Amino acid sequence: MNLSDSLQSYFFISAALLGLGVFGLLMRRNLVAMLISLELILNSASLNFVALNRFCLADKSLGQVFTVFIVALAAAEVCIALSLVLWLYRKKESINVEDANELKN
Amino acid sequence: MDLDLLWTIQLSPLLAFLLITLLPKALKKTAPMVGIGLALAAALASLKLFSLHADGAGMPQEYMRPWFEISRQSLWPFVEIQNYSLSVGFLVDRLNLLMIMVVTTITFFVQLFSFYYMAQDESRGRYFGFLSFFSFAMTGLVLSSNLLQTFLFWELVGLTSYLLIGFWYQKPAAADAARKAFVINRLADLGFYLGILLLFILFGTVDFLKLEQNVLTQTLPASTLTILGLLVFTGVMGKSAQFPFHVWLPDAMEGPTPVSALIHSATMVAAGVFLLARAFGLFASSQTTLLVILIVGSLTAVTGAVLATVQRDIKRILAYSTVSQLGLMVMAVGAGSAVAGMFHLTTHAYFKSLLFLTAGAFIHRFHTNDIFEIACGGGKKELLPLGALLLGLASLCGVFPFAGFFSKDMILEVLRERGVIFYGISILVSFLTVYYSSRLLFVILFSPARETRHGKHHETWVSQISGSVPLVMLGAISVIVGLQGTSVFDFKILRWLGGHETHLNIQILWTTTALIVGGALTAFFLFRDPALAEKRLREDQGILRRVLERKLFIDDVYQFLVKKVVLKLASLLDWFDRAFVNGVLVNRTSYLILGVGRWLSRVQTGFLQDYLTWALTAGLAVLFWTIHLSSGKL
Amino acid sequence: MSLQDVVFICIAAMTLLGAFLAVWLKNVFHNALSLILCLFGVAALFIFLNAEFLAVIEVIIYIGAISIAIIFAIMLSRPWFHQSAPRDPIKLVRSALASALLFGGLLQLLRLTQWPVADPAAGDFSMRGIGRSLLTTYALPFETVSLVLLIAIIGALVVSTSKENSS
Repeated sequence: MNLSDSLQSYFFISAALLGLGVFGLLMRRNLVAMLISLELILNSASLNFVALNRFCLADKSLGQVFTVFIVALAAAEVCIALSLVLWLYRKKESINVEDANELKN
Repeated sequence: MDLDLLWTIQLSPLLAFLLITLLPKALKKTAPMVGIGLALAAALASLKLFSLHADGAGMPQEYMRPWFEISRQSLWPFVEIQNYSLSVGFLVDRLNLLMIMVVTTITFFVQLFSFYYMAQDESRGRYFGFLSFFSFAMTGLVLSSNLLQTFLFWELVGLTSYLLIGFWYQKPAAADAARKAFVINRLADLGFYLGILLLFILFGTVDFLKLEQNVLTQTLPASTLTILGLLVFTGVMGKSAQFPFHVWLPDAMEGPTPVSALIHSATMVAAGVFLLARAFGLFASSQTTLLVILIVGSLTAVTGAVLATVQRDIKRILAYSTVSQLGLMVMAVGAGSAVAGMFHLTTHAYFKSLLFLTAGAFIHRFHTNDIFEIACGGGKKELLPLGALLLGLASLCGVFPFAGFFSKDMILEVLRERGVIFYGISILVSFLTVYYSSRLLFVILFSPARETRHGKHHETWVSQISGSVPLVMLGAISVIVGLQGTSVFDFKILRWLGGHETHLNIQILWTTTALIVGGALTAFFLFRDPALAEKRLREDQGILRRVLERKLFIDDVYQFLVKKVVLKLASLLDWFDRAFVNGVLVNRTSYLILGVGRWLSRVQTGFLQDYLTWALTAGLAVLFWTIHLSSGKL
Repeated sequence: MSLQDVVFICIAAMTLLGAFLAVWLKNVFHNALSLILCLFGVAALFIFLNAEFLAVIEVIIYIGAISIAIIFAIMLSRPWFHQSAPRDPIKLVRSALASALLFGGLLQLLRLTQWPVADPAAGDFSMRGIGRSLLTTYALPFETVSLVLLIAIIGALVVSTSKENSS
C-alpha cells in the first residue's frame, strides 16, 4: 500500500501542522507572525477534512465543501485581523503583543 | 365563660397601657381614669371567675395551645418520653384563683390611691401606664400554664419594677436603686432559667400539670431532683428578696409609695412564694432542697427583722419587715407546708399594702419619710391614716383577731413540728416584729407636735376620697381574710388551699401573747420619750449600731465583688476579644484571603500568549483524559 | 517504495519544512514566504487526495490573496525599524512542550479511533458535483459565509478608517 493511500500519513502531517501552528501562536511576539501561525492551523484542519472525506465518506463531497468554507472564512478573518494590526500599529507604534498588556491583573 | 373572663383579666391592664401610651397629649389627663377603670374591670372579672368556681369543682382547668413539638426520644437515660413540646395557655386552679383575686383587688386599690398620691405629679400618665403594664405582666405570671411562660412574665415583671422604681429617674438614688433591683433579679434568674432548661431536657415539657405527673411517676436520682429544685429556688430568691439577694428591696423604696405597696409588698415579691407553692411537688421531692429553702428563709427572716429595728425611714422599716415576712413564708414552705406559706402570703398582701398606703398618706402629707419628723409634724392628728396604721401593725404582729394572727400562728405551728431551732428562730422574729412595729407606733404617738412646717395643701374631694377609700377597704379586708382561716368562716381559705383545719393551739396562743406584750413593753420603755430616743439614736456609735446601719455590710460585699471580680473579668475578656478574636481570627483571616487573592491575580499578566497557554493546557488535559477514558492507553 | 511514495514524502517534507520555518525564523517577512511554501505543499497534497478543485482554490485564494495581504500588513508595519528582541527561553520551552503534547495526544487519538472505510473511487469530487452541492444541500452555509464576508469587509473598513480620537 502506498503511503499516499494511507489515512495515517495525512493525519501525521495535519497533526504536525497543528503542533507547529500552536507553537508559533504561543511563542511569537509579532502579531503578524501569530496570524501566520493561525493560517497554519486552519490549513491543518482543511487537510484533515479532505483526507477523511476521501477515505471514509466517499459518496458526498462534504469535506471539500467544508474546506471551501474554511478558505472563505480564513480570508474574511485575515481581512479583519490585518485592519486590527494596522490600527494597533497606529496606536502603539509597534505590533508586539507584549506591549498590549492593559488587561494586566 | 371561663376563657372570656381570663382574657378580660389578662388583657384589661394591657389595654390600659396601650391606651395611655397612645393617647394624644390633650387626653393625657384621663390616664388615671383609664388605668383605674380597667383595673376595676380586671378585679371584677377575677371575682366573677372565683365565684364560678367557688365550689372547687372542675379544676384544674387548662386552656392551652401547643406552640411546638419535636418528636424524638429522650436525651436522658433515666426518663422515658416521646416528644418535646412547648405550649402556651392559661391554667385555672385553686391556687391561681386565690392569687389572682389578691393581685387584682390590691392592684385596684393601689391604682385608686395613686390618684390621690400622684395628683401633683407631671408624669402621671407614664406612671399609670407602667402600673397597668405591671398588672398585665403579673396577671400573666399568675395565670400561666407552664414554666417558660411564667419565666417570660417573670422577666416582664422585673422590667416594670425597674421602670417604676426608677420612675423619678432624675434622682440618682432612684436610678441606682432601679438598676440594682434589675441586676440582682437578673442574676438570680440565671439559675431559674438553667433550672427550666434542665427540666425541659429531662422531661420534654415545662407544663405545670404534666410536670406534676412526671415528677411523681419518674424515678430520677436524688441529686438531679435536688439540683432542679435549687436552681428554680434561686429565681425565687431573687424575686422574693431572700438572703443574700434581699439587698434590692430596701433600695426599691426610692420609687413612689403606691408602687411599693403594690409591687414590693403584695404582688411581685409574692410571686416567688407563689412559684414555690405552684411547683411544690418539685421542691418536695428532695429533702435537701427543702432544708436549703428552710435555712435561707430563716436567714432572711432574721436579717430583715433585725435591720428593721434601726431604720428611721418609715418605708425602710416596712421594706425590711417585708423581707422578714417573706422569709417566714419561705420557711413555712421549706418546713413542708405550702398551704401555710400561701395563707400568710394572702394576709400579708392585704395588711402590708395597707401599711404602705398608710405610709404614703403620711409621706404625702408631711413630705418626708422620716418617722421622727412625721411625728413632730403632727402625725398623730391624722386620724384615718393613724387608724389604718394601727390596724395594719396589729395584723403584722399577729394580734388576735386580726388577719396576721391566724396565718402567723399556722406558720409557727408548722415550724414547731419541724424542729426546735426553726421554731426558736420564728419566735425571735416575731418578737422583733412586735418591737419594731411598736417603735414606729410609739414614735408617732408620743412625739409632741411642733409647729407644722408645711402648710396643708388643699386637695379636691375626689382625690381625698381616692386616698381614703383604699385604706378603709384594705383595712376591712385584712380583718376578714384572717377570719377565713378559722372555724368562724368554716376554714374557707384553708380548705380551699387544701390544708387541714387547725384549731387554736393553746400553747402557741400563750407564746404569741407573751411575745406581743413583751415586745410592746420593750419598745414602750425605749421610746416613751421619742425625742430622747432620737438623741440616743444619733449619738450611739456602738458596734451593734454600726453593723446594723451598714446593713450587715452585705452591700459592701457586693460592691467589692463587682469591682474586683466582675469588672476585672470583664476587662480581661474585652482584651481577649480585641486581641484574639478581632486581631487573629478576623484580621488575619482577611489578610490571608487578600494575600491569596493578590498572589492568584498574578496569573493575569496581561499577555495574550500566557492566557492562550493556560487555555491550551486545559484543552490538553481534556484531550488526554478522553484518550484515557476511551481506550486506557496513553 | 514506489515513485509515488517518494514524491509524497518530498511534498510532505516541503510542507512541514515550510511550516517550521514559518514559525521559527525571526524575520517576519521570511515567515510569510515560508508560509507560501507550506501552502504550495498543502495544495499538492490536495491533489493526492483527488481534490483538484480545492488545490486550485488553495493556490489562488490562500497564496494569491491571503498571503499577499499578510505581506501588505508586514510592509505597512515597517518591520525593518524594529530590532527583534531575544527569545525568551521560558516561553520557548513551555510553547514547545505544549505543542509537542498536543501533537502527541492528537496523533494517538487519531490512531486509536476506528475509522469507517469507504471505496475511494466512488466519490464525485468533480467541480460540477461540488458546485451542485454548494447550491442545493449546503445552500444555507453558503449564504451565511457570504454574509460573513460582507460583514468582515464592512468591519475592516470601519476599523481602519476610524480616526485616532474616535476609537
